[in-house]
Amino acid sequence: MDKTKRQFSLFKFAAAFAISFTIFIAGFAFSERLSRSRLEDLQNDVLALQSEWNSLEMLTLIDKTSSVSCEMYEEQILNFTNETDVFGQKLESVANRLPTDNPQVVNMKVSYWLMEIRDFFTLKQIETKCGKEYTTILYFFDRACVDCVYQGEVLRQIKQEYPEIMIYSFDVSNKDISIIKILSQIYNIKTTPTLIIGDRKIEKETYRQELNSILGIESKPLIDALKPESKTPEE
Amino acid sequence: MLAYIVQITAYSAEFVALFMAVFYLLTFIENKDEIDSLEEPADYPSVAIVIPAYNEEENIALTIASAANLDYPSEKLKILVMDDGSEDKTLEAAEAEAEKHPAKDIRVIPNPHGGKAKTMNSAIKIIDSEIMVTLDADSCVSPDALKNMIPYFSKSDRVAAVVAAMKIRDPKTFLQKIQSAEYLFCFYIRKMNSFANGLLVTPGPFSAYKRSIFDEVGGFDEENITEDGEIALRIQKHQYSIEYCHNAEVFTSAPKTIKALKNQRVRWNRGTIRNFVKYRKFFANPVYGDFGLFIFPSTVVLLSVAFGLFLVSAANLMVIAAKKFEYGTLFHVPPLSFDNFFRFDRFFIQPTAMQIISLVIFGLSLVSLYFIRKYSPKDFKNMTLFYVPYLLVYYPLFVLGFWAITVFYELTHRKLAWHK
Repeated sequence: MDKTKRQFSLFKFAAAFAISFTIFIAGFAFSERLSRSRLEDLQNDVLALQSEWNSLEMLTLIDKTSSVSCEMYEEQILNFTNETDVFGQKLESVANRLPTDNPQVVNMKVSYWLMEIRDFFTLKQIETKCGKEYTTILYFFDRACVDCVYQGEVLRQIKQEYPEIMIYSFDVSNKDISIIKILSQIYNIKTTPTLIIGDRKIEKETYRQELNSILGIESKPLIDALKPESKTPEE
Repeated sequence: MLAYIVQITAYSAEFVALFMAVFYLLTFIENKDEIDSLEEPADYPSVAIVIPAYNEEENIALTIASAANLDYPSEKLKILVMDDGSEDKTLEAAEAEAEKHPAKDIRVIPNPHGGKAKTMNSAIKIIDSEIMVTLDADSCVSPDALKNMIPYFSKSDRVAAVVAAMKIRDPKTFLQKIQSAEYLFCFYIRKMNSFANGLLVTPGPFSAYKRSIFDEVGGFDEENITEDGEIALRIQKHQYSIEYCHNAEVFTSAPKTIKALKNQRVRWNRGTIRNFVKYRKFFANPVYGDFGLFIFPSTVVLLSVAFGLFLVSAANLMVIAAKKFEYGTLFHVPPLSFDNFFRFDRFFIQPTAMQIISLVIFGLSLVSLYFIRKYSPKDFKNMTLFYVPYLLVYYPLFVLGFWAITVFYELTHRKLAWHK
C-alpha cells in the first residue's frame, strides 16, 4: 500500500450524507404535517365560532318578541369578540408557515373577516340600543406594505394593554374577495395602512404616541425609562 | 429577493452543520474501540523539550518544574529553555529553577530577540534528539503526558506530530470557565479530526514533532503570527499525519478579560485566514483525502456562511429595531400574568423545518458531549452546566463577534501584533 495516499472514507461520506438528508427531509415533513394538523384544528374552530355566532343571532331574534337585557347582549358579544381574536391569532401563526395562496387558509381568512364584520356591526347595534360607546378601530393593511408589520404590532400591543378596545383588521391585498371589495368601497380605501377610529380616517402610518392621544390612553411599557420621546410625525 | 437568498444560504449551512455532526458521530462509532488501546513502546526515543520564553519571569519556573517532573527516562530527556531576548528577569528565573533539578539535563540558552518561530528554529538546529517537543512558557504539562504521547509515533511511520489535549490552567473567572468548556468541546472535534487525519493545528502549548520532519518540510515560519497552525498545514501538505493524544494534558493560561480574549482570538483568526489562503489548494482536493474533501472545506464554508448570516441578521435586526423604536413598540413587553401563562395554547408551538433540524443538531451535540466523557471524565462532571451558555450564547456571540473584529481589522489593514 502506498503510504502517502490519503484515506478517503467514501462509505462514511455516503452514510453521513444519507443520514443528514433523511433528517433534513424528515424535518420538513414533520413541520409540514404539523401545519396541516393545525389547519384541521382551525377548521374545527371555525365551526365553533359559527355556532357562537348563531347563538348571538338568536339573541337578536328573541329580542323582537321579548326584551333581552343589555348585560346579556354585552356578555355574548364580548365572548364572541374574544374567540374571534384568538382565532385570528392562530390563523395568522398558521398562515405565516404556509404559502399565501393556500386555498384552505384563504377560505378561513374570509370566514374570519366575515366574523369580524358581524362582530363590528352587532357592536354598533348594541351601542344604539343600550346607549353605550365602544372604541373601535378598523385596520386595513396590505401584504406588500412593509410598514404594516410595525403598524400591526402597535395595534396588537394596544389590544394587549387595553383589551376593551375593539380592533378589526382586514387584508386588502385579497382584492378579488367580495367582502374585501365591499369594505374597500364603503370606506374608500386607497392606501395602506389605513385606520378608521370611530368616524376618523387616518391614511398613513400612525405611531404609538399619536394613537395614544387619539384614543386617550397611555403606553404601559415595562421599561418606562426607555420610553421613546413623544413625537408626532405631523410636526 | 435578498430574503430568499438568505433562506437558501441558511438551509445550506444547516445541512453542512448537520452533515458535520453526523460525520463526527460516525467517525466516533467507527473508531470507538481504538481509543484506549495503544501499546507502550519497548524502547523510548530521545526527547528534547523546547521552552521558548519571552518576558515570562512569572511563569517560567512552574513551566520548567512541570517539564522536569515529566515521567520519562532521565537519560532520554533534555530540556532546553530558549530565552528570546527577554527584557525582564526570565533568564535568571529559568537558571534558578534549573539548578533545583540537578538530576535532569536542563539547559538555559540566551538568544537575541527574534520572535517565537525564530527561537524554535534555532533550537531545531541545536538538538540531536529523535523527538522535539514544544512547551509554551505560560503552560504546564501533566507528568504522564509525554509517556502517553510517544506511543502514537509508532502507529505509522507517516506520523509527524502528536498534539496534547489543552486545558485551561486554574480557571477562576466566568470567562475562563466558559473557555474551559470550549476547550473540552475541542477535545471531541480534535480527536475526530485526528481519526480522519485532519488536524488543522499543532498547538504551541505542548506538541511533539519528529525531529527529522523539519529537515523535510522546513522549520517554523518566522513571518507568521500563528506559526503553530502554519506548520500543521505544511505537515498535511507533505501528506504526513498528525495524531491527537487525549490523555496528555497541558494546562495553559487563558485570558481573564474580554479584551485579552479578543486580542488572542483576533490574532488566531488573522493567522488562520492567512494560513488558509496560503494552503487554499487543500479545498475540495481529493489528493488530501478526507481532510481535503471534508474537514478543510467544511471549516471554511461553515465559518464564512455563519459569519455572513450573522452580519445579515445583525443588520436586519438593527433595521427592525429602528423601525420599532419609531413606532414606539421597541420596549414593549407583553403584560405577564399567571392567567396568561396557564392559558398559553399549545397551538402556537409550530416549529419550522429550520427549527426542527436545529433541534436535531443540538441533540446530536449533546450526544457528542456524552462521548467527550470518554476522553475527559474528570473535567466533565464539573463542566457540564457550562456547556449550555457556551453552546447558546458564547459561541455565536463571542466567536462571531471576534470574527467581525477580525474582518474589520483586515479591511482597515491594521498592523498585525507580533507578540501577545
